[in-house]
Amino acid sequence: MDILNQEVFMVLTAIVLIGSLIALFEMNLGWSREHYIALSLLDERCLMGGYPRRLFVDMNVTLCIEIYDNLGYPVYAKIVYKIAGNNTLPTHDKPSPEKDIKEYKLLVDNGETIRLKINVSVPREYAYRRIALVFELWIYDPEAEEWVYTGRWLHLYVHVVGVPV
Amino acid sequence: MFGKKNVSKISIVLLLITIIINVASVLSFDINDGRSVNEEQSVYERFLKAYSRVYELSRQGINTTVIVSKLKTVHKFILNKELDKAEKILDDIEKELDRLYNIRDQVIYTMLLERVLIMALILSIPLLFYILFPKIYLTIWFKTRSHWRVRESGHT
Repeated sequence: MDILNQEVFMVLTAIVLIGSLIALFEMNLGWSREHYIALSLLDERCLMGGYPRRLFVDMNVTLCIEIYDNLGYPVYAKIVYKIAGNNTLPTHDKPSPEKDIKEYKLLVDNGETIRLKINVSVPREYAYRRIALVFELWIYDPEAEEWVYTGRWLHLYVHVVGVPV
Repeated sequence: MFGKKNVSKISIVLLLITIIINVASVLSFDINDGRSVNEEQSVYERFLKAYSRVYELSRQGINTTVIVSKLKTVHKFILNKELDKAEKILDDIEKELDRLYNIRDQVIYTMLLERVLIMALILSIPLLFYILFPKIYLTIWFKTRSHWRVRESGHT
């Protein structure tokens, strides 16, 4: 008499085996996962969508920048605000050649998301032009003791419409 | 020894030197805080050194969340130019970092042992299931049928 069907038993064993393997991989046991740092641009309510399209010269605009660190260690980061044109946008290996206008430094722990509200404005020299507000992400490299460009940046195209009346 | 003219020249030079020194000292001091820019720089360098040590420990897998949280406060104080407060917390952080550095090897071995034990525990589940499940199943099967009686079928 076959009390415990062998095929059923094998299927159950396979399910338990696969389940335990999945549990093993899902548990954070310290081995390498995908390491990255994420940067995103949000509007002044720290939500997606309500980005300004037109700006007045010297007018303060509030934007929100979100950083998520998944590098496996805390990061001392710096967001550099620049104003660029089509030809001077940053690339994945080079920052924009334009001058730094402002910088914001912050410490982000591993696995932490930080939303940073920033106030930026456009100087008069950019009046009546279409420009890109550029936010580059740099991190401090403690081994080299210098700031290193991460290859991550955000840009938002806006029309600068002149001076407010 | 000195003529009147020479004395007046020397006094003018001394006056100029005094003015230069005063201007230089005013320029090198922060008006809000009353502390020198160099001092601010040295606190910032201490912060960077502490961060470097946290980075090193963190890369080795040691939990540094509490220290990072304190470092954030230090960073805020440095930006607000409240250097005394920043230095006070930095002292604490440095002590904590020294302690962690001293027990670093021990912590790493403990963590490694913990990981190996967890892995062994999880991987032993299918093995235990394979060995114990048929026995448990049969025990339950027989227990639930222990009151069964063999009856005559009625056929001769």
